[in-house]
Amino acid sequence: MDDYFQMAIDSLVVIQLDFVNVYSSTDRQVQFDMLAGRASKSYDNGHVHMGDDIPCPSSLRHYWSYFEYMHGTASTLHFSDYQGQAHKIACSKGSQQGDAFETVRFTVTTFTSFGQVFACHVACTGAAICDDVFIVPPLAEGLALADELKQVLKQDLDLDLDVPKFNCFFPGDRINDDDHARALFQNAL
Amino acid sequence: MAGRFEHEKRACEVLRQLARTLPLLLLTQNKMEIHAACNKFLKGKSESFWNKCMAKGHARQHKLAANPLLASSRTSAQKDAMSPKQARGGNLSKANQTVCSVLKLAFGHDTLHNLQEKTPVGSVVFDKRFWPTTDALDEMRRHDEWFNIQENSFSIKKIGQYFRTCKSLSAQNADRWRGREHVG
Repeated sequence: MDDYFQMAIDSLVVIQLDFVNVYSSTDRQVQFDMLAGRASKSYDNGHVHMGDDIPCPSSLRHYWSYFEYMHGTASTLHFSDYQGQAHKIACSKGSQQGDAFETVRFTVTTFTSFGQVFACHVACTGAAICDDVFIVPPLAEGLALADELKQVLKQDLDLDLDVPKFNCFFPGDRINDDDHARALFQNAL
Repeated sequence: MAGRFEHEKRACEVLRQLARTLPLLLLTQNKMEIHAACNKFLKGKSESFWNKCMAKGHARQHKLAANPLLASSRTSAQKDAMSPKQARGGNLSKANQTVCSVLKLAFGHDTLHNLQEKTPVGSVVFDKRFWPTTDALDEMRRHDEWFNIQENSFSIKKIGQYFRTCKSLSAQNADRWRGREHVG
């Protein structure tokens, strides 16, 4: 039985993670820290201290003024509803989804967090593209990574894991046949 | 003007509101009308421009009140035309949504609430201790031949051309609110 349980834990699964409303929810201070290349507070569960260097492509720093103008102050979203009535909504967090340049900055901001968490879980292979994260891990390792990623992204960037969009793909029909794998999965959630 | 009224709060507030509102009013007009409106505005004649904008706004409100943008079913012909186009464009999830969803994307009573939910409030009081100074930025740009890049890629002409021809910053979303732009 122990061998069977160990086999269930060791065999590879595919985990897909998604985060809620990422572009509009990211903490702007973190984005400026990343651009400046220095941490203004502690990040990565205390592994990065205030004043530590943060990796950032120097080419992106050329656009500091652009980002400062765009996000250094609250902007106003003008919305015209279905009856033509205008509404104003203050935008003071994150950036605008759909702007390709913002995608670059968002990706660079999250790169450090994703990279550091992945580095701690060497048994996991994964790819993070913007806010879409795919992991190919042994089940237990993958769930541990997902859990740490959830905590780190909440602490560092104020992003929430979209639990209903959390997908874990098992080879064959194992999740239905394997009580241990199912219990492990449910406990993790 | 902002420098001239630096210590007069009311004047600064008026200028701020003007800077926010004027581009919106101008963008309701076509290119020729914008030129004419700007010329008149600079001469202090803004009343006709204002009235024209208000008339357009009221006309739009009346039109929408008479025929509100609500959900409606897509026809099979529309689905047949849209979904292959979206799939060929690489947007498979949207193509799937077009085929499977019953309703067309439209505004609803809850759209404003949804939009507010998706626009969380954060702080814009930043810790600027490690932000680069203006001198540091200038120095960095000099080292990397930034001025050449600026001249070749970010000239006023090129920026103007970009904004005249660029697509809207956002597309329709599945949660039923339409494309919108940020105005700082």
